[in-house]
Amino acid sequence: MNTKGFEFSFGWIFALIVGAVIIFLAVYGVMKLGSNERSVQDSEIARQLGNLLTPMEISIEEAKTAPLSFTINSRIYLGCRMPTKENPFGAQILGVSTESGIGKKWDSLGVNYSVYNKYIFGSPMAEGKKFIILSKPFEFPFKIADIMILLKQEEDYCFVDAPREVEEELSGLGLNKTIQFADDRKDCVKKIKVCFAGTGCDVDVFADSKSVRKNRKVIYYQGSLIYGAIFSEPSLYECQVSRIMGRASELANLYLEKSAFLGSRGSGCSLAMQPFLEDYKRQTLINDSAKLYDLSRTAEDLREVNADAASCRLF
Amino acid sequence: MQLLAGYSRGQMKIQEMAFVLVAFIVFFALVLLFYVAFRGSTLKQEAKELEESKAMELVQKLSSSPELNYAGCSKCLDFDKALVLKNEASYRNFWQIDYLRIERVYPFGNAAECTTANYPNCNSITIKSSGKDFGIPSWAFVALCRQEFIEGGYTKCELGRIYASGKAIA
Repeated sequence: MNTKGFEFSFGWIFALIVGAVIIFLAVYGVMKLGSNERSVQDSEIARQLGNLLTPMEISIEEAKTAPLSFTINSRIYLGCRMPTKENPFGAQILGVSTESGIGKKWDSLGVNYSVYNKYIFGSPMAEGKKFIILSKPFEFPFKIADIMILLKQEEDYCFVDAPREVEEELSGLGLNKTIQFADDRKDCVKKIKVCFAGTGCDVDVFADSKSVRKNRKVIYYQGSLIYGAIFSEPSLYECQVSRIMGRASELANLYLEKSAFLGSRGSGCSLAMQPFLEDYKRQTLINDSAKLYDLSRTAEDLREVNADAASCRLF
Repeated sequence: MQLLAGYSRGQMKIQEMAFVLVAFIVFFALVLLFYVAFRGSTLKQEAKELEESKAMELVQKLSSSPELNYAGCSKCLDFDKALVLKNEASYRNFWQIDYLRIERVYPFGNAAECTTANYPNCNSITIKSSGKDFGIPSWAFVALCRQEFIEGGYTKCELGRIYASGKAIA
């Protein structure tokens, strides 16, 4: 009998099945390795970003800005961990995810990087290639930390009726391309409007009560925290304020110890500051920015008593 | 007999295929092992470099940090504060480094670690030393300032160095 068909022997069937399994495993393995590699690279970028922010800390300057560029479109994630008894400084969480043309466009976040001595305000997720970091010291009444604001270079903010010092400072730092300054809301070309006199904008700033209304939430500021309040998402801002105040409390403790130590070395001239420092240390453990206003009186008292101490100044 | 011969030829083919498959799997396993070992060592190296770069950036800025800065001089390090900071447990891991030490370079006095008992007749303050192998620390010159109380009180500044080393990578 002449059958012109193809004989499918056991060997062929076996080879086809095993071949398919091998090819599947190889493709799966390569994809998994590629995904892991992306995750590793994103984690490394997050760490590098953390290191790159150290030179942004302020020493003799009043404020500074620096550009931050990625070669490919990237997402920067900002998170915050509240202070605890074990870690009174909380943590700044940094994550980076890079765009890819193969597989998923945005990979899940790599390993988050936690850093304890940095405070970055901004949107919880910023996407782009070019960013700007604005750095400002926060003093209350002594220097507590440098706050950093992460902005996209082509940010969409329009400041309406901004106080002259704010406009001069931000323009002087080269941010007038990122932020538009207008006298009237109608003149705004950029989308997110920030009103300094009047209400009804996306962000309303109330200088008298030192508060900012954003996303129907009211947050409070002191000094340079105004920039954090304007540009940050409210829950991220509240967490960062708690962390900064946690550090303020630890610094007050350090000044108390220094005062006691100097006292033991024969100079008790700073001892008069101790009750003020004790008050400040206790009151700074806050988890709500609304308490900043009351705290500002304690801070002012501390500033005055330190200024009066002449050669015994602690800060 | 012919049937038996056919069976053994078929079995031989299957055995050959099985050997080839085993060889394939062993080959891929070796390639994977090599990749994992190579990637592991480069990752370790990269992590070490990142830690070194962190320490390098940090020593340039530590004297401006509010925990160590001397009031009224943005680049000066407060030796008094450093001694107090040494005993503060909450700051153990604040900068996430394994080693942090401040040393007086000039005038070189008593070569001893500072304590509250011998201060200021001492030469160095080790704020953190994890005891691990932290490699060669990065360093930077700083002005070490402290308060003196004789002759009505004044600020005394000397030349010092600050050393820092990133976290050891095991």
